[in-house]
Amino acid sequence: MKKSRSENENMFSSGLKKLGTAASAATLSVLAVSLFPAPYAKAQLTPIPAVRPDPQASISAERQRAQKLFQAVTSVRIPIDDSRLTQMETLLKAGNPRAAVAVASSDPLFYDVQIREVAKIMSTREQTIRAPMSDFVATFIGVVRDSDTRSAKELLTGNFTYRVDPAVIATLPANASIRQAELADFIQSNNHYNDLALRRLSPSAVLIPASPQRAMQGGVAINHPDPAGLLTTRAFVEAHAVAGTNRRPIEEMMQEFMCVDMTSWADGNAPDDRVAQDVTRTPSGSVNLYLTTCKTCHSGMDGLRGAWAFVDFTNNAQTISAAVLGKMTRNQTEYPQGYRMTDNSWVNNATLGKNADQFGWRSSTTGVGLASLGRLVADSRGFSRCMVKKAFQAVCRRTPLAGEESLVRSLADQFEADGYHARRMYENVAVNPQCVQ
Amino acid sequence: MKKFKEMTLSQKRKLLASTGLPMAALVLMIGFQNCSPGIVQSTKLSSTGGSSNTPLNIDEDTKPVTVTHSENLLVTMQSITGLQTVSNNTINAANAAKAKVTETGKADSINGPMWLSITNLSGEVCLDLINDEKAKAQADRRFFGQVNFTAAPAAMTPEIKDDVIRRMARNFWGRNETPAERTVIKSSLDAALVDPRRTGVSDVVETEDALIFTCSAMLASLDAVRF
Repeated sequence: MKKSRSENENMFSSGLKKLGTAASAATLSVLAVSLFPAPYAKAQLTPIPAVRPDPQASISAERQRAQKLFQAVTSVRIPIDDSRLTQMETLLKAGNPRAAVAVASSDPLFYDVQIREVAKIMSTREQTIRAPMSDFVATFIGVVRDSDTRSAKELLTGNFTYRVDPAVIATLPANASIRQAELADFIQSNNHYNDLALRRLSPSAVLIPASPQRAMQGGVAINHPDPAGLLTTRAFVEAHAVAGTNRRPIEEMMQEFMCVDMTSWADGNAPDDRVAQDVTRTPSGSVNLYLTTCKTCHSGMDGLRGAWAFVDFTNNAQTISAAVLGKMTRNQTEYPQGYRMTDNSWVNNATLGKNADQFGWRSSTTGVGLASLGRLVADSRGFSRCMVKKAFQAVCRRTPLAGEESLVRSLADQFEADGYHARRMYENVAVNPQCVQ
Repeated sequence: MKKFKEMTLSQKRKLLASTGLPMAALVLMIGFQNCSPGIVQSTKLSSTGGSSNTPLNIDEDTKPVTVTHSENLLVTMQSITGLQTVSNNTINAANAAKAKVTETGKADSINGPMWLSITNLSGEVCLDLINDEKAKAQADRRFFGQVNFTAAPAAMTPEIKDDVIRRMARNFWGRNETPAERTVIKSSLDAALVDPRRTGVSDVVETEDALIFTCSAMLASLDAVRF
């Protein structure tokens, strides 16, 4: 099934290329439906078994442990007499907690609730579980679900988003359908994903990858020229690249995919040759103030923001400019001798001192565009550790303690050794005795 | 008096507040009796309150206490009641509850309005559950197999109440109820439904309300929504 899904994606991709840049929504729908026949042709809800309680049965310690593990992994409690727990109980009694946890992580509730919540928190500026379902959230769920064939690094390097299978949509009643016009419902609004949430379908059952990513240029929908996984989803761009100076996407990228806030990677020793013209070098008349405060953040942030030189969020859509956007060079009289952006190249200045260890870079310190920036982050040790920390927070219901840094690093090593297999990483976190007590 | 399902939201709230809430508060207290005041629970203290001689290390010897939060509250209630689909009223109640229910699930984010919302939602879920069970033959019911829905609540013998409470405790709380909890629930139920009967209310409605009372109190208790 996984293989056929991948094959379908390739077919979809090549089909889109043949269609060219002006493919109409109707044509896309017809194409997608024809390319994705059964087994997707069935709308599904997250399965909720009707469990019959057994009033007289005893409850073993392993059964109770199984319930805690299942709830930790999926974020949902199931009845103590549920067959999934009896299966986990047997595995725990046999001394195989890893297999027991795998029962939970293979359950649709894991993707439909737990992973959805992790992704929602990452998807917007407010960092809340009340964020809407979006292309960001759907793609995150899809990559974790397809862990057997997709590396988690594709979260930052992939040229795809996940959407509801058109074949599933075709089976829905007209008054409960899911909108799927490319311009109106994907590129210029969140309608498609709002409908997915409204219909209460199981994301893990109905999502399929759609490639390539799409955006607007000159009022026309185009294949995204510089895709970078979740960074170039509509939700992320809407949240962070609207207006402003495109510094926020860098700050948020570090926050969500490196788990490091701005103050934690600020570095007064980093070179400031990329700090832009709009940053005064004499705040309150003090050069020293610039050197000790402004520069510490801007040297790293401004070095990387060149990657976003062409990306904006206007008219409700991610738009790709053919030239450097005006917002990247505004207020140039503030300090005319500062850096003036002329292209979408970037320089990684966050490589010194504490940043060398906390990020663990493994790629080139320079690059061009978002795809290479996504690769820079995905290749780093910091990304692996951050994904582990997010899983730890979700499953163990707490942040790792200071004394657990070695545990985080060990789990991150295992995550990389497993080929960035996201689902297996969640299992490794859950079976750790320090997690679920 | 109207049937529960015909009541307005405020009427339902009043009914649940006057009946289910005292019991929910009681179960809440029972559920919290092993907790430390903060957001952590000791892993060394026994349930009887005894302690080992080893000093407590707040980092190593405690675990977080969290509850189901706003986004997974409804699916958790569906899961433990075994309801694949719920009514629009329940979905509306869940959406209305979202703004009042904790976003983090941390114990120190629990408050009164949150628990009122959870109790209100549990009433709707329990009504869905009762309607689901009522439509089935007695042998096919999962919770109310011994209940005669056409008879007055008085027809529910102590044994039938025990059976209903046990079944809900296992599914909702993940354990059997304690004798003390069983006594509290049964006596509260008896006190709430003591004669005289409400004017113009049929046996069917009286019995349903009794079951909603019991179900929503147990479903809205801490042990049903805690991690």
